[in-house]
Amino acid sequence: MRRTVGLVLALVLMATCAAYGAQPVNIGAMGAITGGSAISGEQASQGLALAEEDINAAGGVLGRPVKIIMEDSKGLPTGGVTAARKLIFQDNVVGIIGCHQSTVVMAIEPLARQEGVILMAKGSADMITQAGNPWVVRVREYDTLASFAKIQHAVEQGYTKFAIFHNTDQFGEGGRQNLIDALAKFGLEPVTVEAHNTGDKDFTAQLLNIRRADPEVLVVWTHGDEHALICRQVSQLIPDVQYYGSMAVSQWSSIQMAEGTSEGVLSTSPYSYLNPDPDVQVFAERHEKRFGRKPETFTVLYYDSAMMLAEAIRRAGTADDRDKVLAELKKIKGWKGVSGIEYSFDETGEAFNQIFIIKIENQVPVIIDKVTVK
Amino acid sequence: MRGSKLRNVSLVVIFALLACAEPLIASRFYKFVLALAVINVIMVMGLHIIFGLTGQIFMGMAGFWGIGSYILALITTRLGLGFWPALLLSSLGVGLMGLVLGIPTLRLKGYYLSITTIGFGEITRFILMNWSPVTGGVFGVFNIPRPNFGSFVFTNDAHFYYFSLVLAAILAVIASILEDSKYGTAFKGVRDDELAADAIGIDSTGIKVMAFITCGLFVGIGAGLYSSLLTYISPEVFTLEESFRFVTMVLIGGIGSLPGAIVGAVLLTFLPEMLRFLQSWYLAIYGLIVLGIVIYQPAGIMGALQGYLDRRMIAARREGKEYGAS
Amino acid sequence: MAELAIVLQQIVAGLALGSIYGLVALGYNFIFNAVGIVNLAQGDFVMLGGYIYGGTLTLLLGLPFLPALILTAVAMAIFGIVSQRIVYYPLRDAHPRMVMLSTIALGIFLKNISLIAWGTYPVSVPGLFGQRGLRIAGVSILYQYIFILVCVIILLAVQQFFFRKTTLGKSMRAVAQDRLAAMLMGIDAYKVIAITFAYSSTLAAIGGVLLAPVFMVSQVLANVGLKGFAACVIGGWGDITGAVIGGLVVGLVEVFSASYISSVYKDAIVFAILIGFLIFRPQGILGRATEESL
Repeated sequence: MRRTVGLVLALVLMATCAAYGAQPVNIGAMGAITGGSAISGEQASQGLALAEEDINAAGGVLGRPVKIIMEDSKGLPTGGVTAARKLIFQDNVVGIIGCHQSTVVMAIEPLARQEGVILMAKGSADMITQAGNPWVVRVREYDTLASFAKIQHAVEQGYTKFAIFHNTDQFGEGGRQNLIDALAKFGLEPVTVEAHNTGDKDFTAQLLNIRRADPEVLVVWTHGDEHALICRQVSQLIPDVQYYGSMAVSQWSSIQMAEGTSEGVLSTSPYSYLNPDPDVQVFAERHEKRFGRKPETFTVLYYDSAMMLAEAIRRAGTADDRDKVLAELKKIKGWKGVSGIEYSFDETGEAFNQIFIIKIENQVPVIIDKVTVK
Repeated sequence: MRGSKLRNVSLVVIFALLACAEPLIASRFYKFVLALAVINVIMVMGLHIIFGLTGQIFMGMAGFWGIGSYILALITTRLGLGFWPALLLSSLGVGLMGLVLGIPTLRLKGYYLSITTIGFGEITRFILMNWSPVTGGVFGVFNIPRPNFGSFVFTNDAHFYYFSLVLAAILAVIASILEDSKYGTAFKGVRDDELAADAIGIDSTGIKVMAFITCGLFVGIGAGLYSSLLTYISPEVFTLEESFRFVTMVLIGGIGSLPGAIVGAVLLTFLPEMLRFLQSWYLAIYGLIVLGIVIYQPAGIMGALQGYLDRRMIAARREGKEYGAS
Repeated sequence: MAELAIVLQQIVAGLALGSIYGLVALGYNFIFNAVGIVNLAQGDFVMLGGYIYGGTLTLLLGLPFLPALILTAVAMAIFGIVSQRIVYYPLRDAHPRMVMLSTIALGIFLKNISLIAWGTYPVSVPGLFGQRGLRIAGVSILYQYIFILVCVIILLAVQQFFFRKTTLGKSMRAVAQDRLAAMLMGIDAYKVIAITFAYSSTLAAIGGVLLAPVFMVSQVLANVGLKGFAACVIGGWGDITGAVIGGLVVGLVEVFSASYISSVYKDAIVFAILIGFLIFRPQGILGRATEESL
């Protein structure tokens, strides 16, 4: 008995040594570490740190350890382009996970095509996978999916009067267009559309214009900190409207920032840390122990992407032949991630076609429904 | 060594080094950064004229840069004009912006001028973002062509680099000639003492407008090259932080020195890339470094070099005298 | 009726925002009055005050409001003296543009060091009143906004009294008008300037503390600096009442242009008005100060 244990230990030790002695396989990642959207970058890097640990604890890939190199895109196309070149030409990465900003993805997409590097995009704009670039896959909900799910849910509740309030950045503009399209599918039109700029703090003017139009539903498409402030101000100015937010409103941090005013808000998200799925729970607990806060959507999506890319490298049996890795990646079907979503890549490169409807009840994001498209 | 001689020697050395650098750098990443550096060199020469020579802290570089980039991008992709007329138009267009911005700001000095130019930059960004029918809004402009000679297209980054470097060298010669002309003297007169300049008959407001226009012409060329190098541009790039980065380039190199501005531009393009491992610390350290330069070395790198040469010359002269006396 | 309520609500929102900008403007004005320079890091000082109050004293140490406010004010006063020593004193005889650059650099440093110190998530603290507010005739107003307005009026009165009646205030004005003459008259000009920075930073700290519950504290909070600057220009430099009036004007312009012209161009409109004032009426609405010394 003791000998077997000793043997196993020795083998494990040898495997680890072999793994760490070898040249690491580099996986690139990109997010905003500085600049206005640095929150998303922090969430991403926390997920990636855990992913790197897990991949290497499982012996790395191809007998080599994996190194995840995260670069700062500043959330800007310029920053993204230089970061992508650094990852591709300096670090010779197999693929790049990110960026979470669609503009950045669009800026580096031609380079990924030209150099043949896998791009696991985290931007939500529909056009990312419509550019016809075989090297681009997306591991995130796309805007049409999220907007359709929201509108469908609201229409099912019997609502007919919708107001749209969106950020003027690419994320918000895309969301506005998708929401209008989704409403049109149900023969509806928004009663009013209002906009705000990133970094705005006071939304009284827009919310009063919305109040004038007297909607039943207010669909807000923006980022976490703006969501929190809008929730606070909506509770003052239009308390009886039903608030539907984009993904970020149901994140743990946004709920804290809203200080109770986001109670009853509905949103669509691929993730809630309250998902009873055991994989989700184990990861959420581990994350909280390590970083002192609940994981957010980007944390789990970056984590899952890294795990899937590592798996694709293992299946391809090579880290240098990126065509092969890409082919194996696209063959992944029904992969269960720590987000609680099952990923299956389709021919356009979308990883999933389902999303949760989430309601904030007693200050926690509760999954109340799951919408699957097609 | 006299100022203009030091300048010319430094310029020759700098451009020779830049020409040699391309084949010496192995990494394709740093080759790209080098191309970005030369584009920044072209743009910073524009700022050198208005800030370095004329002493006006122009905080709207991002506005000029954005307008120039968009002119080239829109003319080539929407109107289907070739690269060359588009580059010319982006230079002229930004030069015209210089006139438009220069005239109302004639009377403004110091903080007021700076704040006005900050406002100009921010308004430009808002317009680029929200005037979607023309600019394509936040989605940006795709598929901007690379420069070409007939059917030869500079898709290769190295070709693009040398092409930009030649343009930069020509512009540096023009900037030097301008600096040595009577306009250069007038620019410096306004910088050193506006009241005195007025008193000796320099039309300081007219000079400032001219500096704005020249700045625009230079920046327009750099901005056009920028959108051609990246082939995709979007409006959120052109922020106040970027404007200040250009001001810092001039400051680090040495206010008033053309080679200084160029060295500053190359340094501030490479440093952030080489210091990537600092991650979120980089910008904090950058702020500290700029603070340190303003306080301890306000004359910048070229000022330090000039000081060193002067000291050596004095020492040499003194030695020579002592030797002669004995 | 509903329309009237909406317009009233807009006015309330404009005044609330405006009092915040006015508060920031007071800080600018104080330094300008004493030294004739503009501290372009003023917005970042507000942010820093908010972080010290919200991030460290309230969330980390769990202090109640009043002690947290006092400690923040003290910390920021010390910080003001230190930063004066770094960004102003060595450059006291240099061209004012160098001071301008050094304060911008200080601002960049502060923004990014606080990103490292307090993290990327905005710091949200409920303050004294949380999200509670009054509701009168369909118009709602947060208690926090009423509190801010009261604070601004008190500070305004204190500042007026200070400059007009106290020896220190008078020597500050003397230093601002002519530093050399003041020094010849036996005023320790640099001590006076240090106190000026300390007080101005304290004002920024109060701004940060008051703003934290309504706007949260993040790097973006520093943007109130530009609005505060606009308030100073519109109200007239060097004029304390003008700064507050300028703030209210900026706040009202922002809300009404967002309501009736364009919500996405509202900041551009504020900038355009600012530029208009700079060019056509640089002495501001009240028009007492001259701009020559800028």
